[in-house]
Amino acid sequence: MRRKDLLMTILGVILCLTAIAAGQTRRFPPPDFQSGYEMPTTETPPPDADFYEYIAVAVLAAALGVGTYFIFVKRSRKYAWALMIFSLAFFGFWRMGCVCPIGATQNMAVSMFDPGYAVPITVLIIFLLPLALSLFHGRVFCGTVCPLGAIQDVVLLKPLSVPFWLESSLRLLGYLYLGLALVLAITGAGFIICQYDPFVSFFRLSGNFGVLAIGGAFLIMGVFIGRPYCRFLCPYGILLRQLSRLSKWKVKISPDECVKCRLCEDSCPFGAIRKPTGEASSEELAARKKILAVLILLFPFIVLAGGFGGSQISGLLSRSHHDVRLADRIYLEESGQVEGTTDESEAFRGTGESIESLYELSAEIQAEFSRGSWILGGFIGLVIGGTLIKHTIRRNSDEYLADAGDCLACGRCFEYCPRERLRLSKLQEDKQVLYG
Amino acid sequence: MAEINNNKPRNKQSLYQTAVGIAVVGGLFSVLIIAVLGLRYFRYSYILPMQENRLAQIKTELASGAEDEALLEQFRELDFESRKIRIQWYDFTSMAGYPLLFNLAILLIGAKLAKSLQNDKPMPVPGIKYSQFYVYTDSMSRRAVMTAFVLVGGMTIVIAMLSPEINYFAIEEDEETDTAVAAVPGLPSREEIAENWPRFRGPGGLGVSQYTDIPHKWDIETGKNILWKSPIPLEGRNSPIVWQDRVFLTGATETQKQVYCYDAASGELLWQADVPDKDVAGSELDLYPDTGYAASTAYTDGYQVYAFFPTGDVAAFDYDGNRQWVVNLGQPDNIYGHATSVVGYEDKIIIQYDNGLHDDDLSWLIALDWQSGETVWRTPRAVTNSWTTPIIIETQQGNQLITVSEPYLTAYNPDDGLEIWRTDRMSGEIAPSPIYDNGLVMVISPYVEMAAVEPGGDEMIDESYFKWTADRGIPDIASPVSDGQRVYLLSTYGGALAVHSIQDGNLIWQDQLGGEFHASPSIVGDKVYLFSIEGVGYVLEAADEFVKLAENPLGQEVHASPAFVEGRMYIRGEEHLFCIGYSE
Amino acid sequence: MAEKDSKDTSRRSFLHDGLWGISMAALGSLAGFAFSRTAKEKTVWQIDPYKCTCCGKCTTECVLALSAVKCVHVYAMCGYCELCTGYFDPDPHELDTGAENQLCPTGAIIRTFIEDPYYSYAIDEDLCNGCGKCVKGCNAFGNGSLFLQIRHNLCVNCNKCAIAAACPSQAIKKVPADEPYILKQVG
Repeated sequence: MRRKDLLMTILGVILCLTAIAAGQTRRFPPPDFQSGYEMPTTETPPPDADFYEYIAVAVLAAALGVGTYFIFVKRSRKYAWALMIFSLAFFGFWRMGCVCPIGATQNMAVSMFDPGYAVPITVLIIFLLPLALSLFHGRVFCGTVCPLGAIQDVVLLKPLSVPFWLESSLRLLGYLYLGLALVLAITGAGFIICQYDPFVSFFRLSGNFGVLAIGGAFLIMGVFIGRPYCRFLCPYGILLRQLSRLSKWKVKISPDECVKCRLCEDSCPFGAIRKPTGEASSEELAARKKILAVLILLFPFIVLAGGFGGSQISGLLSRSHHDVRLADRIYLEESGQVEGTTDESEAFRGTGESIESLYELSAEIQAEFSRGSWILGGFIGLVIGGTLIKHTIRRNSDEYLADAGDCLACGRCFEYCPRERLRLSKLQEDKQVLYG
Repeated sequence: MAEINNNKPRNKQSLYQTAVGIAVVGGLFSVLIIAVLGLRYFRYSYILPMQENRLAQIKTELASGAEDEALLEQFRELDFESRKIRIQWYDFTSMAGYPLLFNLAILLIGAKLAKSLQNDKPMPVPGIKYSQFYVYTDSMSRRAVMTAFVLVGGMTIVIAMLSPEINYFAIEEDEETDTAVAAVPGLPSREEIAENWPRFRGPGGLGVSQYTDIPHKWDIETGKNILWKSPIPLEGRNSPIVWQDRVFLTGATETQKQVYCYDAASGELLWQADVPDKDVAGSELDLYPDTGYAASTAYTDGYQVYAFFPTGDVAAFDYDGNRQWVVNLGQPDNIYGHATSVVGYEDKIIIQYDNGLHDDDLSWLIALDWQSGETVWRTPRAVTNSWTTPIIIETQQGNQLITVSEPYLTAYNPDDGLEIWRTDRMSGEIAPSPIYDNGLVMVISPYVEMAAVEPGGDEMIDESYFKWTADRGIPDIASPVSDGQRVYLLSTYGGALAVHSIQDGNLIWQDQLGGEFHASPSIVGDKVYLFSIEGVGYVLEAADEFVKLAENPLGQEVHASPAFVEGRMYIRGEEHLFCIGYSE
Repeated sequence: MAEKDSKDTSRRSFLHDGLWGISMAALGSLAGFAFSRTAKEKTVWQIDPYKCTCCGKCTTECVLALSAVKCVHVYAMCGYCELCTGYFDPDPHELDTGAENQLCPTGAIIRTFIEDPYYSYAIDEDLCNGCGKCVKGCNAFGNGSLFLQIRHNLCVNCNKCAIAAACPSQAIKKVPADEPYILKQVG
């Protein structure tokens, strides 16, 4: 029991010292060792060298080049698939999925608006390379290089076709996600694309339960629905889709001419193949013209309505920002509407900063959100209007085509085309399989 | 399936079965690993916290000094177990990924192989007219997109309506509306308040009149300068208050509480109104007879009159005697009975409701809404019951509500009731109210000292705020009064009068008037008016020496401080209300 | 008819080429603008120990199952106390290495006797989960020589650090990769 008394005395002395030396970090002097003890130094293991980042950029460039070669020259699904597996291993499991061009969208957006925010050059290149390529060769990145696409592609076993109307509605989610991610990134609320990346935790073989569950759900869905994240959510995919519409060279199902044999018709698990349309009847054209006229008149109102709808959730959106949540909490505590404190409010009070300036900061951020959500809503209105118009203008073609925007350049359809098999001199083999 | 198999050579069929077998094996192992992962996760995230709780529990038991070897052993076992769970989880998550990945790859390879052996390349159904197909799909897509837009838009608006709004600057905005309310007719302006006598000891509660045309001599025998006298139905020791042509008083007995309104010109009792008991019956109170059942002076804002009684009841009447509201502030606990008077600030009615001892948590400063009587704010006070009335002073830092009670002199923000500063120098059973003059708050600790404090600082103020203190002739009931140069202190017994310099607190002179005094002295121009219990009105010169100008007996007892307005003085006698003024 | 078709086609291809040019120019200017703002040096995430409140979120929020945040010891600041409030429970049963006396939930602090009355304290980083309990103890009553740091041999350097997003005191920030630690200073 004497020991305990001694302890209490020591503790008492410490407490007294604490009271005296409040605010002072050093309470006990450094010992003067007699036994020749040598003080160890604190280890500071360094991060990976920059070198690895440049390797990643080089591999990305090389993979894009090789992918383009496989799809446009070799026209080989097998090679493309092998490259995709390599990319899954390299960019996914080895580089652990970070930084990827999808997430880099946010870094780019922040650097546009915040002069103090610097984007590493590697991130800039990673973001731009696939976009630049898409202006020439479409979405080769999606089909062969992107590890997120690859992990969904490998689990695709039994593709079900998604009806057109559902596809075009679900696709809006991607635009919403993109707009939301940009608003939240620019206002400094966070990087949701990274935070909710469904697959990165698989690449790291570690992660919290919620994100793993979302990723698992996407993969199970991906067994039946081809690349659901790419088609319905991927924000970077939207940029690629729009640029690919303009690409110089497009992925073609047939190596030369389409014989309209219909064999490729259902070969695309991503719904990117457009059937020949035939000649339009005059009634159809008249009806389309009328709808188009109405839509063009409605267009500004749709954008405005979108903006108004967006502005309604600005308050809610702004609560995703740490400082706004903190100001709310402090306000509730100060006005006695809640009892107790949180880690956040205590940490804030510990800084000794004034509550008024926090309120002002929060009000400023909320004003930013208010502008941002008008723009976000307007953007969604624009997308809606654009989609409606797109579905009103008649597309004329008399062959089977891969839609330049939707085609992920995976090369699946090539082998369905008899002209392709002829090119590869595979028709004889086919005959043998079919007729013995 | 059978059809496909029929078309296939034998070895192809066995290859298919092998592929399925591979997929099944890969799948089984994957499921196994995921199951173990799930189990470990469960142990880590559910069992572990439970064990940690138990560990913390044992720790406190051990810390309480129990020399329990078994408990110690239990702790160590449990600790070992919990560390095992933790490390198993960390190890497994860092290791299990690779075999899981490997087995998932096997599963996928098997499944893909099996699928490639199934010759299920799609064969489209013939006969679709594509021109019609796109007309149909386009119109379906348009509808779907439009519907999605409307649905999502509707949802955002619903969400927006359901989400709470927080306005940090709500308090400031309220203040703005307060001033707006104060500016509307119905609530008095500063000038109007200064012209009237709306509360105990007049505007500001300082006992100083801005008028000088008030007689210093009157004669109850001849009726000289007595304009009228009017009987008061029920007794009370509260002072008259005056607003333009109306004079208000209250009166009460053990069983009855009343408010009176007199016509200032004629002395006619215009109306009298009863205040009902709310919750607490007056008969339960055992009051000190010197306090009585109506010691608190009422307050008027030119629109309504507000009366407070020792039962804790506050009532508001309009100028026609219609009761607007009554509230009870809670069970009173005051050894002599409450005597604090009602004060008003903008649209708030404020009552210093001090009860019990300082550690009883029974004392409150309460602000009621003038229109509804609802509590606007309520600030707890760690003080002993008192008989003082607060004053509201204007300082460079804003308005302050000054309260005195044992042991604290406390200043509050009258807008929100939040404390600004305090000092714990007050002692005794405090009845004299504070005054404010020359930038100093002067407070009395009965029989001990008068202290002059500069209002400022925050929290507990230190000695540097004390300008001076005085300990000669300190009163016990009557409040002090200042003429700008001198502070007059009047003791209850013997009418001992002590006059101190407001500059340094030094005693200038002291003398004896004789008799007993309850009413506080007042300053009218260059004269000091004092009323003894015996009903003698003394008028002295406000000077550096004792100069008695007049001695006017009233013929009945006086316990309350008089009210002064232009040309008139109202004195509450034991039975009558007197109006003094030059009679031609 | 044929003429109209060819006119239509040429108009389309003109529009197409125009848009292509605009897109190319947009990407180019985006690249140029962003390039003018690029950081020449790599950055990594790190905890500012002077802002950290040891809330414990580092343990749970890191994308790695075992957090990359570890307790770090600057020995030069340490008082080598026998009663280390970073090592021992606030009310220890005995001053020994018994599990019931330790603050660390994972037993990651190694206590070694050096000479009377000094003991050294070292962190076993394989066991440390970055909960910061010892840091709190050391800050409260000791010299504050224990504090949390992101270990860069473990950190995967996410684009946006998940702990930074959850940190109540916003103590995690980007630092240059050639100075990847914010060590507390003696004094």
